[in-house]
Amino acid sequence: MIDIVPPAFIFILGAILLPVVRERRLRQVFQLLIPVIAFIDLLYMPEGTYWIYNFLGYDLILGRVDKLSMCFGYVFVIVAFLGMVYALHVREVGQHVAAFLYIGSTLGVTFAGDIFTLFVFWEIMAVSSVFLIWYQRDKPALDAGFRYIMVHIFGGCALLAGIIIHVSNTGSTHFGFIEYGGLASQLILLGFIINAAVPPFHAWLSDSYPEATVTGSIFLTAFTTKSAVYVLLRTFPGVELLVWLGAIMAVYGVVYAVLENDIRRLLAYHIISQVGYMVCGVGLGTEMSMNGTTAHAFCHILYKALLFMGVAAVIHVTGRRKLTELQGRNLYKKMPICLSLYMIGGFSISAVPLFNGFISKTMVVAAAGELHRPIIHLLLHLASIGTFLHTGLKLPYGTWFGRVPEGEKIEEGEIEAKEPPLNMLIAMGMAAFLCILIGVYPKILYSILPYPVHYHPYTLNHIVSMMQLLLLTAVAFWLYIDKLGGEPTISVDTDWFYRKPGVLILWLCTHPLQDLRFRLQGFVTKIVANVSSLSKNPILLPEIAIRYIHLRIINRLYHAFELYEDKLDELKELESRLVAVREMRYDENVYRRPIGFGVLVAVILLFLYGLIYFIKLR
Amino acid sequence: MEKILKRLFIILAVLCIPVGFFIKHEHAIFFWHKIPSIEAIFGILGAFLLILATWILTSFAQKKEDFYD
Repeated sequence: MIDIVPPAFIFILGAILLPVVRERRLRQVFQLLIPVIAFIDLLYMPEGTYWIYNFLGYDLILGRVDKLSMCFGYVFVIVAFLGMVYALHVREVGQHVAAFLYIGSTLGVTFAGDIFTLFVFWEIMAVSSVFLIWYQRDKPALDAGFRYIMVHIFGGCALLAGIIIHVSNTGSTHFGFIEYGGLASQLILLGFIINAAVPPFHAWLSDSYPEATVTGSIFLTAFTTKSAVYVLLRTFPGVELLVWLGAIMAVYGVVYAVLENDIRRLLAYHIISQVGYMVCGVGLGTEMSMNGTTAHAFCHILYKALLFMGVAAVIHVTGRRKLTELQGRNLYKKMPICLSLYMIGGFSISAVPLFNGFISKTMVVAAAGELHRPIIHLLLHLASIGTFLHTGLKLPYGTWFGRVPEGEKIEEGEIEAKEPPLNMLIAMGMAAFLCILIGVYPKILYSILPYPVHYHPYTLNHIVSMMQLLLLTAVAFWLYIDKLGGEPTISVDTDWFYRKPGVLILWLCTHPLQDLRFRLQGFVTKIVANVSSLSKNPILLPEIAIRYIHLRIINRLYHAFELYEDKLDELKELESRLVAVREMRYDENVYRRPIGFGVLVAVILLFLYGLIYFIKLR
Repeated sequence: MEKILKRLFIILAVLCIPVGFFIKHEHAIFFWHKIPSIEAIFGILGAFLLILATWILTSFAQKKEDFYD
């Protein structure tokens, strides 16, 4: 019997031990072994709730295992393995440590049974993932990483606030269905949809993922948004708001993708679009839509990893990431295997029959149809068209084929392109194999979905309809092929709202507010110094005050009558007396009075009190 | 090879439209599902619509690469 442990701990332990392994080959074996061990661990995990620890009166549950969490758990571990194969050539141990922590915390979120555990892993996920961006070690990456972490800290704060209100209202820390309505649920939902990159909170994704390291971007595409989809499935199924947000998100992503010149940013917008299908599926809330969302998340993780691997391989070998720098360079002649594998990902995301996107995406669209939601149905269709237009056609055409822009000359041997390292190709090959396997034999995936599946993707009507949609989209692309090339521009998105005003806010902080701070600080320091000086002998306060006022009046009078020069000595004398009085320390013997004096004061006060009392009484 | 692929694409694109007339939608949910080869129309119209949307978006969202610098 194998003793199972929380899969999150396997990766976290791997992250701790990895820097200790000095020998490179051994470290590579170790990198691959961790996901394999985690996968075996998953296979032996029975359904149920376990690894429960009491902390401050609350039950922290590290293992809530059911079909939903297992489905996400499997795909997270599979893509962790693929990502590790892809990143085998990377010598920087820190990148692998960050990746292991990131994967481990995502699995922690996946199997969390209470919202405190969820929150802790949620935050580790944000912090560890940012290092996959920062390891790129250039200014755009550092800046994008800071923006990424700031947005996620904001999301984390919203989530924590929601959790605290929720727990104080209900007394329950159970991580499950939450009734939407009220501040607590709205804050929790806000925290989740920020991670899911739902517009208008999506710009962190298209801003940061393209700046990550070549291998880090593979991990980033898989975990943050999909773990957000998972928690949405758990907590907010059937929320109408999500239906619309998801459908708009699906179209928004593809429209913005057209503008993009950066190949990884183009794909990043397609993540937003594809997650839109999942968010919409969560909102629809039926068994079919929930199954569709889970299946689509599973397939999306695989094909999106493959797509990112393809373009990251191009960046790795050419050092170029923009369509304008790649089009017309005929990379297809130098990287045919890479192109072929990328196209499998392109066909998968476009839902071409026999590829995995076809068996999952159509399920969400069909669920919208079942519920008679025509606008949602059409919006999702439109997103499908856009997906094929850009990921399946524009990006591969511009990257591997394309035409040289007018007036631009290409020198022979300008790009020293070749196929990427073997480990990269193997990882891509495995991802491509899984995309086709699930596409050809969907039962593998359908059997692990949370609800029984009553959907048959391979009907003649489905196949013909999809082929019509895609082929005629390709016709439109062909007609406008010259208009869809890359432009050396960037597209302004909702990150404008914190990037441009952010500069202004920074200026406000470093100039006027800083100046105000210094002035206030000086003023308060002066007051404190005076109070401190005067408090040395409070009994002398009236005398100091009188001397001070006297000095000021005399000074003014002498100024007014222009006698200042003559009376300078007198003023100096007054000033020195004032200073001397201020410097006088309290001496008990100096101020000692007879007891009779104290009694007299007490009697006077009593008399005054009595007088006031009787006057008020009358 | 390029020519073969082009020809194959044209043949498939042309053939897929009449094929739609012979295939009945199993569960026509919306009225447009009863129109033969409606998905082909969706495909081309949707692509044009997206290209149009992009051109509109370009006018205010597309900026020089140093916009944020």
